[in-house]
Amino acid sequence: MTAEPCLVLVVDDDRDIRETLGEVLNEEGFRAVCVGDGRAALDQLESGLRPEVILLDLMMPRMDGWHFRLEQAKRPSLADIPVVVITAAGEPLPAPIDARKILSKPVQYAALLATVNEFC
Amino acid sequence: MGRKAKSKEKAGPAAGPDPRQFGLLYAVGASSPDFTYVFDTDQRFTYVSPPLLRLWGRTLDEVVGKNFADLGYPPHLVELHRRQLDEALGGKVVSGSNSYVSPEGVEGFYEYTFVPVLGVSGRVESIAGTTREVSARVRAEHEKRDAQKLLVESEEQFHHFADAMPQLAWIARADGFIFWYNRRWYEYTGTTPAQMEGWGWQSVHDPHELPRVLEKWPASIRTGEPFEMSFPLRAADGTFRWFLTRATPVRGADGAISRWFGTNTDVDAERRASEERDAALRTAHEALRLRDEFLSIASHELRTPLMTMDLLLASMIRALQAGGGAAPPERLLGKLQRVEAQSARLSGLVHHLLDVSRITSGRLDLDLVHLDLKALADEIVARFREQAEAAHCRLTVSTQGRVDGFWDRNRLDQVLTNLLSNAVKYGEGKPIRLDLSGREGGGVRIMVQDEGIGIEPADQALLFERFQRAASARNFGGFGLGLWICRQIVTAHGGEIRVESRPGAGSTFVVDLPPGAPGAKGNR
Repeated sequence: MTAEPCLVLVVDDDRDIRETLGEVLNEEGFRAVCVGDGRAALDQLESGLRPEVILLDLMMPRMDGWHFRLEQAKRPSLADIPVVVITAAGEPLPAPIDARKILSKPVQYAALLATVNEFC
Repeated sequence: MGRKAKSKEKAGPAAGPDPRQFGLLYAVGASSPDFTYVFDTDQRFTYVSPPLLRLWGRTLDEVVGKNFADLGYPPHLVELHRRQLDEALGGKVVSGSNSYVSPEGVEGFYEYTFVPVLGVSGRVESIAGTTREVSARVRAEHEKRDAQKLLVESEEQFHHFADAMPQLAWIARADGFIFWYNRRWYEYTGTTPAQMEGWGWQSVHDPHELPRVLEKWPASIRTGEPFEMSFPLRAADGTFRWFLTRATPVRGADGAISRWFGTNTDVDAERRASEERDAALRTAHEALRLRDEFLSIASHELRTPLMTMDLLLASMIRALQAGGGAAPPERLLGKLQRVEAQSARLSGLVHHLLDVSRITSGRLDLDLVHLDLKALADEIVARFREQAEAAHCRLTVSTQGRVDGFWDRNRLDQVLTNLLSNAVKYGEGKPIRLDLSGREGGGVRIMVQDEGIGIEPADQALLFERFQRAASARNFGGFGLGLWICRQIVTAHGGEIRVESRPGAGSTFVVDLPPGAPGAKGNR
């Protein structure tokens, strides 16, 4: 762990999931920023937030995960930030998405930490 | 014989043409395919043209001075011609026709005329005759007659056959005019031949289907294409049954259509069975689709609280394992309370699942008790106070008139909780009103009003359907079953639920409940 905590952006419309993910990540020494949909995530990134990894839910109001991913890919300064999809949609996904990794809810604690550690 | 006859003829007192005329006769007779000949007043030939001599296979010498009997004609013809020549001798022109079998055995048909030839004295001096062979024409006529006879016979046979068929059958002329129906047609339609003739069949058609038929049948008549289509026909009792109708053109020797033979086969049972099959199949597919959708939503919704519980529990275990200050009791307590909340969320979802199962299997029993809705509403609103404040919604209750009746307390609690929960969720932090008003004649109207995001008109109709979560903007979790369950509960009480909404201006859910009766047992 470096002196500066590794930044993780959590995007999920379910408040319970969002807050719990943020809490456990913070307890594990990361710094989590949590937002409720793709639009808010994009706003954060456009305001200069540069996470090491984005944990992205798919089915969300306002801007869903697929839409967010397309918007992110359009912006050269944001396109390379790795995205890990965490979804309850089940396999196969209703539509394909370009992501470094796809995790199915419920995600186990150990698997979550291992995944985030790959990028931090 | 010829020689003698010739001399006899020449010597005869009423002898035939004089030698000058004879050359002329010979030239005319030889140049025409028709037969020309002359009789004397004794009915003996004085001249016969070469074509007739060829037919007989004789020379002029052999026939001059002979009569029909001498020439070996059969007795009935000898007698016939004798009478005809008598008439001609009496001054009349006589015509006739007969058949003659040549020495080669070929039968020919002939038409002939005997004309009296008058002398200067005004008396008949001889008889001129002409005969034309009409074999080709007569044979053609015979063939035509035979063909018609055959047609009539075959039509009669067809009538017998068609009368015995279980199908309805008919025959039309080439122009589509129907001139014959079988017995079954009249039995089925209860009509008479006079009503049906020509285009009268239209009266037993379904007026809605008739235009289709009136388009297609004349098209077949025009083009000669076989006709096939299904349409209903009215039975004698006024009911309609579907028939598969086929008509085939019958062509004459010249290739032209002479008749249309048509049948109508009752396919009503098959059609109904097939419709029922299709409907059953659609229902089964729809049920499967709903089940798949339900399983997918259920699995999606159950995963979320499960994951939250998993993470919280794992983090607590890790903190406790690390020991010391990593697990301060107040932090553990907070996490446990959130695990408890997730557990409640899970049981709520499971209850919804059970409700769906109960309702779809018709086991939604109501426990009707006397209930003051105002008291129930106050209790529920108190429960919602915290949630509403967290969402910055001001929640107010108003009551008008008597709002009591006989209802199922827990089920109405469920309805109000669901409606208020939606109002908080989609209310965008604006005021929420719960209005209860007693209705004239008993019963109550419940209105839950928010000023939030509202619902698109297209979505409003689907709102109370199973598994509908109107618009992705409203997709904030839950099975999308809440309003469907509300409607089932309200309906089981004999009431109605509806929504009035404008996107961006909020929604008002209106529930009308009848007063109910003590001891009555609602059921669905």
